[in-house]
Amino acid sequence: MATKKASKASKSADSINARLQLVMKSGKYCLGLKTTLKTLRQGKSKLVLISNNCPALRKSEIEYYAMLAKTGVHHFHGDNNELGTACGRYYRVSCLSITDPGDSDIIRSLPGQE
Amino acid sequence: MGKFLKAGRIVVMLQGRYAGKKAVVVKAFDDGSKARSFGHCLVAGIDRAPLKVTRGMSKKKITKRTKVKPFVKYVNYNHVMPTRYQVPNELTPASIATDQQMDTLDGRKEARKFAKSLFQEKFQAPPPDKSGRPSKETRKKLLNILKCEWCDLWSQRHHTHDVRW
Repeated sequence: MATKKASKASKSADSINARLQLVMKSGKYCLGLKTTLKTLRQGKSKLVLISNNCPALRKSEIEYYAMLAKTGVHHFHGDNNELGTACGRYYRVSCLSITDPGDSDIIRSLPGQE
Repeated sequence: MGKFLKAGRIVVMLQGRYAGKKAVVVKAFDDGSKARSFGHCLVAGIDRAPLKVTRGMSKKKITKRTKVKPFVKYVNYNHVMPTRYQVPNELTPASIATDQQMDTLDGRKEARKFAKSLFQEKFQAPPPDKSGRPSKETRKKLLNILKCEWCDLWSQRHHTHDVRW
């Protein structure tokens, strides 16, 4: 049972990374707190991803904004280094906002999973 | 996927002289304006909330302590924290201050006076809720501490000096 859950978790993690890759290639996104909040305020954000080592205050701030904007929040299973790598960047990314998913189905699939 | 910084939304000021004070959004300029090329809003807020009053105080003291000191200000969106509370539509938040008023010093004074009378009136006689009784909730919404989880964390963080982010 434990192994099944573990493999499922790693599987879904891989799929999120794959979907993120597709968004980076074909969609529109914003990396970083400032721009994420901006898109949330404007109502342009479709999905917000937060790394797991994001400071608690910042995390709850983003979650609150997302609650007001009725935008989904996904807690990425990885820290900001990994989220940065998943975005194909050589720097850390603590939070990112997807404004246009492009060809990816990340928006349709993720909130359902949650 | 909704815009929530609209007229009537209650926000908490984060920066400046009025940091920590609550305000109502009067008008939102999402794309900025000529004078301010950033997203900002016109807010009317409470600089000094009425103080606690007890039975043993004299009438004069009571009237002094129930005074509300308002402010009107243009604020950058980055310097406010929106809350989930909104002022009921009957209060017509958009009419508290207008752009023409804000242009002149005297106009701003007028706007502040109007805001003061509005806040004071609503504090003394909170509008009744559906059951007809004056609602504690609406009073809370306007003037008292709105304890949202984020505000708790923010005030915690700003009181401790050894927190490293």
